[in-house]
Amino acid sequence: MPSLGAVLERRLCVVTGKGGTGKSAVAASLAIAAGRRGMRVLALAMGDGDGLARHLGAPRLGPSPEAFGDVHAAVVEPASALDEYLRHRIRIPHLGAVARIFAAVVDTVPGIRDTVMIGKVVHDSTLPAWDLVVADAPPTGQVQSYLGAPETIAGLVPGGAVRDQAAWLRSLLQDPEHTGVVVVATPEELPVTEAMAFRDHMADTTAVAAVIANKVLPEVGFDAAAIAGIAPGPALEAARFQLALTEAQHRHLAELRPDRVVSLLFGMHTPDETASRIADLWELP
Amino acid sequence: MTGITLVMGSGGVGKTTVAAGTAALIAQSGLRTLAITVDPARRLADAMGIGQASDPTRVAGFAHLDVAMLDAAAAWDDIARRHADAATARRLVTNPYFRAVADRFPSGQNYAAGETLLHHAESGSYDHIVVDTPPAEGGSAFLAAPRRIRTLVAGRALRVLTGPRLPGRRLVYSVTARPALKVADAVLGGRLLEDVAEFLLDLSAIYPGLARRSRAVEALYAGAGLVVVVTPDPGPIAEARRILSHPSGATRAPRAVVFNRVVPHAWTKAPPAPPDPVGANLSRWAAEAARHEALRHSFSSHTGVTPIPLPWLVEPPASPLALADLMRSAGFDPGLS
Repeated sequence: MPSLGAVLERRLCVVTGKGGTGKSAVAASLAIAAGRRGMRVLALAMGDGDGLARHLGAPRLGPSPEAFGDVHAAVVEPASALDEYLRHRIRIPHLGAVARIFAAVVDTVPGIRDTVMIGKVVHDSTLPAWDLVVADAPPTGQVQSYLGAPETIAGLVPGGAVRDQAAWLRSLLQDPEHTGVVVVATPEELPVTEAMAFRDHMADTTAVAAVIANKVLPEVGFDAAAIAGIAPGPALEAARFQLALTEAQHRHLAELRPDRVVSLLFGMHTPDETASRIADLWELP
Repeated sequence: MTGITLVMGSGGVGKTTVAAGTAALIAQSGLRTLAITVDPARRLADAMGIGQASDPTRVAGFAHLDVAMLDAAAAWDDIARRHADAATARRLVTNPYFRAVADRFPSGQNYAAGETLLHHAESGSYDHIVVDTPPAEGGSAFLAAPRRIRTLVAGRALRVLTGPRLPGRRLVYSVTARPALKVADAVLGGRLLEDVAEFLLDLSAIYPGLARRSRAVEALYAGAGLVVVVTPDPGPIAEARRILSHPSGATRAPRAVVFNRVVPHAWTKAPPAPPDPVGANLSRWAAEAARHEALRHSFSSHTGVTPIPLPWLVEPPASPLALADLMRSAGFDPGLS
């Protein structure tokens, strides 16, 4: 298999997947891998930052980037993202009154609210301070409205600075050298269905940089014939469970055709240990 | 009065499956039961005999169990038709912003589930309704949705756009005189502000009705039993603890916490395994079983609730009958009959 290191050579990686697939772990692992390479990397949580914080071994994330090991991390908060959008990108005067009007519009027109959130992530990915921005994005179902927000705006807003901003965002999200999406799935029915629907739906909006299958069972050195003579008990039960689950996983993996698989880690691990182990994935051939 | 069970938990923990099993168990006790479900896996949808229909459908093999899919868009169209005059409702249901509230606001989807629940509770056709909650933003957001929707519709945004004076149509003619609006108008380009204001004006027409209905939804939630679903993973466990400590959840104990996808604790008690592949496999799974057990204990000591373990199955049963059997044998008792 070719190395997945090229995934890190973009400026922005957006990580998504169905809930429970481990997307925060994979997002953290990308940031850790980039940090190990000596890259200046910012990991951004869109929405609840608890998952990303846990996997980076951080107590909690605030709106300004803080260093945790080799990685900087922050959470994108809607209110501060809106403030930054108005001050620095739309550059409007009379901030108080206009901001109140704008907040009303943002509450009402989701295309604008979504564009403010994804705009913060894309904007940070253009700053010279960072070689790479990794976004721990919402689950597959919701992330499409973020990635598609600039296009929604183009259809709703006839002109002005908001439309110009949206056009700029769209050009960066559609540029495969700037932005790539990493889709995470576990080898089960619903996560695979969602990942594949996302891949088809996103085809002409944003490039999918990698599809990762997470929590895949490791291969074991026995088959059904080899355990035929084992006495009933835990060893036989665990062996049968392993073989049956492996077979079901293979079926789902054949459908998903992931770029790489990540093994299920057995036993007790802290979330940052898990992320650190997954980080090897981005370097190994 | 109709009894309510809300099934909550993070995305991917098996809420839909547990909701179907819970509803099947309750229906088997003789209560006329409805399961309102969101986005079931294909196998489960097939087994329950639901297409995309949002109207209740009888589940094969059950005398008292119906299932209905949540259709958020249709629920919001009903809200508009119920609370606004015909012309306003027509404008609303075709308005792109209204469509966005219905389809894309997490609060909009959450609230639609509440409205659908209230509608069926008022019909008198059911003794008990089980709601599989939408995945967006987790359970605490589900309970808060009625209040959030009131805030959205209350007209705060409208007042900001129009000042204290309640405008007629062609609103922007009266308001662009204000310098802040002029700036905002330039930034947003032309008609957008006017479109938004007109939409908000239409939306405010449904406020009195929506306020009343949303309080009735909150009353249903306050009297509902909770079934919280977790898997042995830190994210879902944190979410379950948030749900149990939510202000509107704290007043009552959950009906049950289901610890889903647990491997048998007995595997940790096996004698030392021989150093062959089969033995190594048992050691790995025993470590996993020990981790699940430790998480279950720490959950109990933090919340005071003893979770019910549901085994990790290669393919969970798809039929409601088999799910009911599975949950009964795990010791789950809806405690209603």
